[in-house]
Amino acid sequence: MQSPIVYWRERKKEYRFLDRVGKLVSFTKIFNPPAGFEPWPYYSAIAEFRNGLKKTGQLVLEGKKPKIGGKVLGVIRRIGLQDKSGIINYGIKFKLL
Amino acid sequence: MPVFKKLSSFTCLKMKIAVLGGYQTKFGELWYKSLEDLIFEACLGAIKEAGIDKKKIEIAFVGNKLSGNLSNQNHLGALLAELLQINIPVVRTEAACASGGMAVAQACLAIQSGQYDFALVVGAEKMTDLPAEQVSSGLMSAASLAEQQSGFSFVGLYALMAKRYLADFGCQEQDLAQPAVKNHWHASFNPKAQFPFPLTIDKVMGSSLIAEPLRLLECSPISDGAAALVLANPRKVFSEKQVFIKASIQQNDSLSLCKREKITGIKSAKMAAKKAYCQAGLGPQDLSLIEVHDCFSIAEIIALEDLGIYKTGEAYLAERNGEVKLGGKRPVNLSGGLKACGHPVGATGVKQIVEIVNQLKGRAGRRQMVNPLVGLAHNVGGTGGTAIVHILQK
Repeated sequence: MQSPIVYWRERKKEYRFLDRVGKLVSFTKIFNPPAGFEPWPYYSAIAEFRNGLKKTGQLVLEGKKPKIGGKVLGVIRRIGLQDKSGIINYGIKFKLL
Repeated sequence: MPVFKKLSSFTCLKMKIAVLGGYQTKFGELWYKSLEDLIFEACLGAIKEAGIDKKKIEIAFVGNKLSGNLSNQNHLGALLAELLQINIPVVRTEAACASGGMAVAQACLAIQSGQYDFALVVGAEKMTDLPAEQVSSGLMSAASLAEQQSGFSFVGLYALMAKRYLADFGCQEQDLAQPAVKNHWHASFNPKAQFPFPLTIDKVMGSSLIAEPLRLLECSPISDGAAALVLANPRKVFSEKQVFIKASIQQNDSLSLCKREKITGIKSAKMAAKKAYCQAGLGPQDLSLIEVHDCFSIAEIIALEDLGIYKTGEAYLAERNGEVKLGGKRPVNLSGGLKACGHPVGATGVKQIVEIVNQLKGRAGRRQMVNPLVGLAHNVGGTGGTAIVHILQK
């Protein structure tokens, strides 16, 4: 469980990836997630953006299959379940293009 | 065989630390033993083997990752002083799964400084008292917050490395199973291993996917256990028949996997290896045996490349053709590695050195190799945020 203030502070750093196009460095399908991440399985990845900035995040497939080098777009989505502090974890996911 | 050039930016200060004694407890689900019991058994075993009075020990180091999370005990220096009834400085080291290696490295520096002649090192972890979910959560504190909030566990992060390695080098998923099969075979000769039985490729490939492409039987387990060493200034030791630590190097890199230049190698391990070879005056061609940090099967393959033993993208071929098995050209993880000997995280880096000492002294039982001269231990914290390399010679 994270303190609400941690979400507030950390999320602000992520917005620079919003609506940015990047490419997949690598990805995996997670079948045994940490607590608070459902439904599973889900895909998580590293994406590289302009200026070499890289970020980890979950993938939004929308019927597409991920591939290394494939293009992605930074979008806001719900990342995890509501935790004990009452926070619903929203952040950047990578939508396959 | 890649040969490292002399390093201009690093002073290769010579090192020679005598290993007087080493001891490993049984690794496994040891419900009848507490963290204190494990630390006490390992320390007493190492001191007994060293053949010295505990009063000679001037400083001690405790490697541990999770005692605060899982045993509600963070004050391990004082705990060790109480257990052994000694009043000396005791330093706790924490570097995720490299906590044990870091304890050894700090002890080497303490002796090399000239301030201390005799040091005790213990690495210990008690992981099976709580549900796996809580253990996993504690382990993830060794990853970046962004990685934690993206729904990764460590197997997920290593799966990213594996996926990219498969794509870049033509390695097949079945090749990822080879280290697990080999290490289980080695562990079948090690009575202190958590899983002292062999595995087949089919069994590994038939196990469930945890994070694609890594499967359950390609992952190291949750374990309890401890290991300890007594180290000394060689000028204070009279016997010539010693094993010596000839290099002890720690290197760090970014905490986040995604902040690294490449994810198919671990830069901190490459740099630590280069410096360690330089310090020992040895090269990868001199190694008789290697203990590497195979927390997941891909980690062993990458480690062998980072250490300069195989070229980038080729170590899986050595796994495939059996070069790294007992009886092969250069055996890797004769203890059974993290996969089969077990991975009590704070103990692992110390256990690797205990295994090499046992091999160099010719007392490794049924897994003993023929006349080994030099061994290397490679201990990694997180996904490579910390890497520690030790080279031992007899």
